[in-house]
Amino acid sequence: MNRAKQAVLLVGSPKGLARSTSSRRAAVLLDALQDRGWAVSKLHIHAALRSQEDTDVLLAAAASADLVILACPLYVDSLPAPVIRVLELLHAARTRDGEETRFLTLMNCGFPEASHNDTALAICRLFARAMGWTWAGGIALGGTGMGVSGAAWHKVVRLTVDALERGEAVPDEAVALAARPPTKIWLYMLAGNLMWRRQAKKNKVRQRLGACPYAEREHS
Amino acid sequence: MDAQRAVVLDGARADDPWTELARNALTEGLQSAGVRTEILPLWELEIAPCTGCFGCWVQTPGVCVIDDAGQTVAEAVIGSDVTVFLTPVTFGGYSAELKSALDRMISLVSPLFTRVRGEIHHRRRYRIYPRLLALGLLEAPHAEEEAVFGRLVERNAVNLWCPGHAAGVACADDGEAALRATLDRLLAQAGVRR
Ligand SMILES: Cc1cc2nc3c(=O)[nH]c(=O)nc-3n(C[C@H](O)[C@H](O)[C@H](O)COP(=O)(O)O)c2cc1C
Repeated sequence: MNRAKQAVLLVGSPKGLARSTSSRRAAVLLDALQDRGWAVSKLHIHAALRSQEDTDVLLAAAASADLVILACPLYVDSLPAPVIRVLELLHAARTRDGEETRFLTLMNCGFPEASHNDTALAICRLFARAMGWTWAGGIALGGTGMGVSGAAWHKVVRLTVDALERGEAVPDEAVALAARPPTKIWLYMLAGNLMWRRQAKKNKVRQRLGACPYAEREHS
Repeated sequence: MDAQRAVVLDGARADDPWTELARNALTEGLQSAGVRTEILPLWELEIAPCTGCFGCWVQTPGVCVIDDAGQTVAEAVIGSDVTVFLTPVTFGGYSAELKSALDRMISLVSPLFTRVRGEIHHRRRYRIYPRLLALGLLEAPHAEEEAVFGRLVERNAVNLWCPGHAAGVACADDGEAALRATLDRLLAQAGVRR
């Protein structure tokens, strides 16, 4: 009997498996893989890095998987620091050079244009190459995925899983569908600005939203 | 006129000879240009990772809610004329040490959105931001990693409202003369050597 293919999802948002938007989107992909008979598991990078034992579990899970999926938010045009740490550790511990591990990344950013994720995806692709892994492609969501409805996301997932099962990378159609910005960018900006002001008001700092606490030089 | 101030965010933890040489050459380059230089060895500072709470925007605007060296580094950056990144080129990006400090710096911009060259970014919080100089270190030349590194620095400069930026990679295989040439170019491009 064939061994079930193994997929491991590494979530790289500090918000954790349940609250992170990246994690929630990736969970749909993981469920779809499971429905097709894959053995799946999920690990939270930030939690794993808190102990050596959990870090070792994560490194071992990634090393033995057929497919490693990284899902994380874009932080300052790149991957969040703990995600980079895990990539560094995986690279330092690599043993299966040339063996068939595939690596897929799902990036999710706050600005409406999915293209902000390009540098982070390029980093992931170069990491895959340095590991001797096969790059299975990158999916980028802009505007925290607000332009991509649940139905559209299910289509992205279906196209992706079909491709993965054929041994191919994420198809262009799925990438393009996921990259859809929120329909009205001006409205996204307006609503975003309103939300920040509301949150600041709730915390009684509305008047200080634009404060410059380190502005020594500004006054000199 | 006051001397320029530089802060070096040293995210190059390795103590191999190439990193040492690059660190020393960078410091000498800044000091010989008369720049007041502060070096922050990031791996010693134990900067906690950003928790993504946005408290630095909506609870204590402009200051991260985690009370550790991440705050000090952000303050040093905004108080500098030139912020310098020193890092091994890690798959085209920065080391985890440098990135940990950088993730804590969204406090330096406003949460409010604006358009920059047709793209959405955050508005500036401060009137003046530092120029950005980034020196990446590699063992051997790697065209793609070097290109991604350059793009990343450029993107960071846009998001952090840096009025100028310069990025370069120095490879151990290319030797010391090439390192010094790269540094000369970066110092000139970042307006350190006037
Ligand atoms: C420290 C930090 C840095 C960020 N940097 C960027 C950025 O450079 N570009 C961007 O579009 N969004 C940026 N964001 C926004 C996040 O990518 C966005 O909120 C994302 O949807 C969070 O996903 P999560 O729920 O999976 O954590 C940043 C957020 C934080 C907290």
